[in-house]
Amino acid sequence: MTVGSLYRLRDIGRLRRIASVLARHGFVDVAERVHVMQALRRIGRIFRRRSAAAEVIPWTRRIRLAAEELGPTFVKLGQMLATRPDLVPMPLVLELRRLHDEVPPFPFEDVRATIEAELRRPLAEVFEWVEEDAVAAASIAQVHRARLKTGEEVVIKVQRPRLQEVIGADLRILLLLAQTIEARVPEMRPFRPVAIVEEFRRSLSREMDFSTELSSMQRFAANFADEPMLHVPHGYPQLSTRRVLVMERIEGAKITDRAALDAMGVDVKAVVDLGMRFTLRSIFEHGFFHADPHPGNFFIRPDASIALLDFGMMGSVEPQRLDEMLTWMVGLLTGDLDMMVGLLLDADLIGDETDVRALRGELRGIVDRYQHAALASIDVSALISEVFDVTVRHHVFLPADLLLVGKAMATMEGIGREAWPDFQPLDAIRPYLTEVYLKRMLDAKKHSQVAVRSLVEGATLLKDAPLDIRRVLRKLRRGELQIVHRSADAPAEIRARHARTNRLILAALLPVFFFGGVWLTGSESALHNAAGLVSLGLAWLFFIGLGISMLGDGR
Amino acid sequence: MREGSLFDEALRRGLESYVAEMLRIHVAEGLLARPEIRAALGPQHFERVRAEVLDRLRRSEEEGREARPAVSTAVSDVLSLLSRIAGRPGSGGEGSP
Repeated sequence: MTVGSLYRLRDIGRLRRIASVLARHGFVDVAERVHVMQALRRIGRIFRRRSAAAEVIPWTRRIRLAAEELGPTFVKLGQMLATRPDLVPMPLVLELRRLHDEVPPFPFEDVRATIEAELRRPLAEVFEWVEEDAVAAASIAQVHRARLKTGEEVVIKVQRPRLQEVIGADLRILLLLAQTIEARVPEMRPFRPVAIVEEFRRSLSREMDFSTELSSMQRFAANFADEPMLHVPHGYPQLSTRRVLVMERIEGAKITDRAALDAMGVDVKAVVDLGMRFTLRSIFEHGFFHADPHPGNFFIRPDASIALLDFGMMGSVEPQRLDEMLTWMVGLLTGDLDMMVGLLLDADLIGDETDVRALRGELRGIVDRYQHAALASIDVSALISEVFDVTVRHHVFLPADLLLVGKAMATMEGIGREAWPDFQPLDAIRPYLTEVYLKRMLDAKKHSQVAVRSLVEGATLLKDAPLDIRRVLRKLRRGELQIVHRSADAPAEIRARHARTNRLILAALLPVFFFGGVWLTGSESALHNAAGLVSLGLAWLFFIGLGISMLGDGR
Repeated sequence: MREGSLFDEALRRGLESYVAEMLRIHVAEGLLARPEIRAALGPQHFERVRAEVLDRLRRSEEEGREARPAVSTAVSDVLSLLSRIAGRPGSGGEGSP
């Protein structure tokens, strides 16, 4: 795609605004490098302007200010990047965490029009009244109090009018800018701008679809059905659509509103501990958690229970990843370096260029400092940031779900400390994670399910193996077998070394599986027999693999 | 279909029983004996979790004991299937020329 095709007529106005804001915040060079400024100058719509004030403000702050000025898409993009210390430098992460998502409310006429269009009936037919002033207004939606005809007190979350069009144009521009940056600014390629914009587009689409939010509320509520001290607002599916969400109104105070909590007679420390426990449970037991747990989303009710609000941005973690995370965090919390580094290797998260010894050394430094510090002095978000920083520097691939978990825990710690300055999150985190780790590691049900899956996969592999091998051998006889090694960036020497290492591993494993298989098939136990057959099958595959590898290499 | 579901349930419980026994004998004590695990939990919490975990394993083991034959049956079925595949002429197994 060429830069020229970027300037679709309908996006030109918006593009001019983006370029003008970038220029005003001192990013003329960026705009020029992606040829935005030149193109705009060509069509005579903008002139280069450079703000003298922008020069003295740190670049990280200028990015935040520019994002706030550019509106919802850029604010949301900034918020997403604030969760990605693997993609942007830590000073920028910290600055982006301060992004404000508060905007002036839109007129009530638009609120009425949206609700009536979505519900396909007049407002008065469903609601006894709807308060015209919004309780809260953000970049995606605003919230109004209301009462249903049936007498229930509710709030209505209404999406901003024309949001799809505005965000749609921004996303088109962002994608094309990312493509241009990737093509023209080589030093930006490792940050994969196109992939980031794609990921952002998916995340924003989910957040803009309130029916997804309603499902998340219902799923979260079901996960915590056994927990009377956590309240998830009841949603009204029959009155909710992609752009309107009606839910129960929650009365209470923000978790950080100390005066209101004191007036309610609530034990703030107990509430903060509870908040941390719920956050940990949602992550490490359910694998489905609130990815945007800021203080405004934690409401404390008069009975001291916590009501969680706004389920637009949720994180989810697969069970396998959950086990890995738990193992790694328990390694960190108990100072077990072997456990930490071993897991990174097993989960294939360490890149070829990683110096494992150096990584281990740096992690040792963190663990030692942390082990000898008093609990009260440990700042969990700083610890998480430090660990992320070390892993990123050593080319450890950090999956997005892990980063969201880090963000959720760090935010919860921040909320806790704001509400209760003596809050010691590790008091809750360490025993909780250790307990969950033990329970998961010693969960017979989970392990037996994995065993069944492996057995089925092993049987399928064996069933298909003869045919697959015959195909390979036929191609080999006809001279049609081609071994293609796709590793464009790695030097040939490294690739050859990997191939040699792989052959050595195969050669070492082959006798183990062969003799192990022979021994097991001789056993009287049916289970051992099955394992023996699988083992022999694997030895067979290794033998073929080794042969192919050597033939392909001419050795 | 119904019989199949019942059999699946028996297989699941039987396998879980085997796995629970293996975890209890070979893994649990080793894991629970690690001093850093004990320290992270504190003495009372550790004893509670230890009792809970071992109790759950014993329960899984006992509850699925009578379903263990279902596992043997399933393994025999898999073995006979494999031997049929291995013995099929032209499959690359014993029957190949």
